Amino acid sequence: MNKLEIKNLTKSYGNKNANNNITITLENGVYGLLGPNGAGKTTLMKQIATLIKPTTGEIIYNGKNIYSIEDEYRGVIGYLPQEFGVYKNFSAKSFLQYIAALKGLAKREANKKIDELLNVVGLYDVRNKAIGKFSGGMKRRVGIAQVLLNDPKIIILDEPTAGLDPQERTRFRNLLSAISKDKIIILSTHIISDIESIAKETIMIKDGEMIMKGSHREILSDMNGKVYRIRTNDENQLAEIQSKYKVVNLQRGIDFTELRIVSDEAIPYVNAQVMEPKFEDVYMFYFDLENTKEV
Amino acid sequence: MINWEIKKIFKSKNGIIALILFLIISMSMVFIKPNQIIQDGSENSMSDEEKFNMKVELLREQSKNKGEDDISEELKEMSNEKLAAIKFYEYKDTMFWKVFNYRAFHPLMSSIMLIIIIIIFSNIYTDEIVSNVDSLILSSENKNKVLYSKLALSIGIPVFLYTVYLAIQFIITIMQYGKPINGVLQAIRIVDNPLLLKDAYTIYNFVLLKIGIMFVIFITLGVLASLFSFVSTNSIQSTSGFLIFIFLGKVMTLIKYLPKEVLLIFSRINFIDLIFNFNELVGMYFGRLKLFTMNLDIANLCFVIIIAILFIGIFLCTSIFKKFLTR
Repeated sequence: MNKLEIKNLTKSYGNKNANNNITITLENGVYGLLGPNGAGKTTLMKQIATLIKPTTGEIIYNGKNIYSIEDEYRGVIGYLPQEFGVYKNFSAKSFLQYIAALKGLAKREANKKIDELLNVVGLYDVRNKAIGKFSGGMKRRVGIAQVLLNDPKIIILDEPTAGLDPQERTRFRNLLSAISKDKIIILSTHIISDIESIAKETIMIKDGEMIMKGSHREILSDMNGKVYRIRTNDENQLAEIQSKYKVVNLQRGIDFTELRIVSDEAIPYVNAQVMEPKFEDVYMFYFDLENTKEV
Repeated sequence: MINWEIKKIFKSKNGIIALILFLIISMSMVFIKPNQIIQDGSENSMSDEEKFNMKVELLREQSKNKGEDDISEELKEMSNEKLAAIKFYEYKDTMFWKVFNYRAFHPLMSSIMLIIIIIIFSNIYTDEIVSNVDSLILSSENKNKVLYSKLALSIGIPVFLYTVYLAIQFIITIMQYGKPINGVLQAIRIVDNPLLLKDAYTIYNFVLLKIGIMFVIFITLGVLASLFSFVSTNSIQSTSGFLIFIFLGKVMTLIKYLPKEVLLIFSRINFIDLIFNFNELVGMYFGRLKLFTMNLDIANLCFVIIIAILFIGIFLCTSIFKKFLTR
């Protein structure tokens, strides 16, 4: 069993805290990291990937501070950054060979693993083509393959499905689910359905602070009684609702307009009906995008 | 990892441009000869024997001079040493060494080497940032191997390129002027001004000393260019930072209100003069500098300063690996 403990982690840039006193314990399974842009997700992931050092606090892997076992720790992580880059003049195969060398894999073992992963991500037939000629989605798949090269125990994925088509996304989610049994997978994404379908737990971050961590059931149960549906054909009421409440969805029909809103307070409209919460509602409830601070 | 770093350099456009420049400079030296050899073809030119006799005469005159000040006294002593070390007073063929000495340290070569160093090393880490591969490197098990390989290459590539350049010049000069004979004779035979030679060097000693110092200069430039690359986020920042640094020494020589001792040092060891006036500076007498109670040889002091710059550069690179890149 792998265990990653993040204790009182704070990362400051001048007076701003990109992460503020975050404490989480992660064990095998997929963890979804949810938060608006600038919430501090990438900063947290970069610290877990040893790209930046915490200002205060520590990260402990299996009982040891990661900076006391730096190279050993890096040997068990796989990281896909949000801005995944490649050498455009390298072929997919030679780029993965380079990454395998970075990860300390022996040549023969690396070549075997590379062929296997190129098959998994559907790039085997174009393995000798320069990556510069690949589409965004294909490059992303190279990125996913490089993460898995060293059979990592901790996988850190920052927006991994950006640029993938729906079919590729499904394949990727299935792949993550299949390998998550003995790994800690930290997945940051804006695509809520990705988190809904594979994450064991979701960690919600806002303004650099962790505001909630729990399973879907726990998080959704917390939203019970806070999600409403209102059907109306009164334009004045529609405008009033939109100005007062967080609207998750607005659908104009022929006879009426249907609104899905989230609110902590009881809704004073007779036509409001309490609905079963969805993950989208949670996102809207916690992340008031207009008030989100960029860090 | 070092093989991968080499592969990355020479698979990029920068590496190819650097190689083309290197080949051009190596081959173009076939057509470059010292002025004195070109003049020998004309009717009024002095013969090599006459020139050598003139140099000996110059040393004799200087050795008889009454030393009026410290410098004259020292030049007198040096002339005596050089005369005492002369084994043969008759003319001997040192044509190979004259030409090789000219080509091995030609300012065109050193300026092209500077350009090659800028092209390769000013981009050695910024290229990783620009292509967004830096985060993969810094989160990998072999992060340190990659970074130290880059540093090692900033030492190894200048050494390799200059060694190959010297080998090519050696072969070309043999083909044009015959075998390298009489290298045990005095270096005064291959320089224009024998008085300013710092010591009674043999040709071998003199050429090897200059080669050694040229190696140190190129290595220092390689390390400094890499240093600027490690602290920059793009090629323009890195290149301009490096160029400002190497021009800084020359600019300092223009600031007249600095103490004359400092100006003297800057005028000898600024990288611009070391590159463009190498032959006038290396192996030559610069005088002495009185610092507190010490009477220091300026040439030796300058050499120590260059070595110190090299080691400071290496130390800063390693500090950046440990503290700056993952700050």
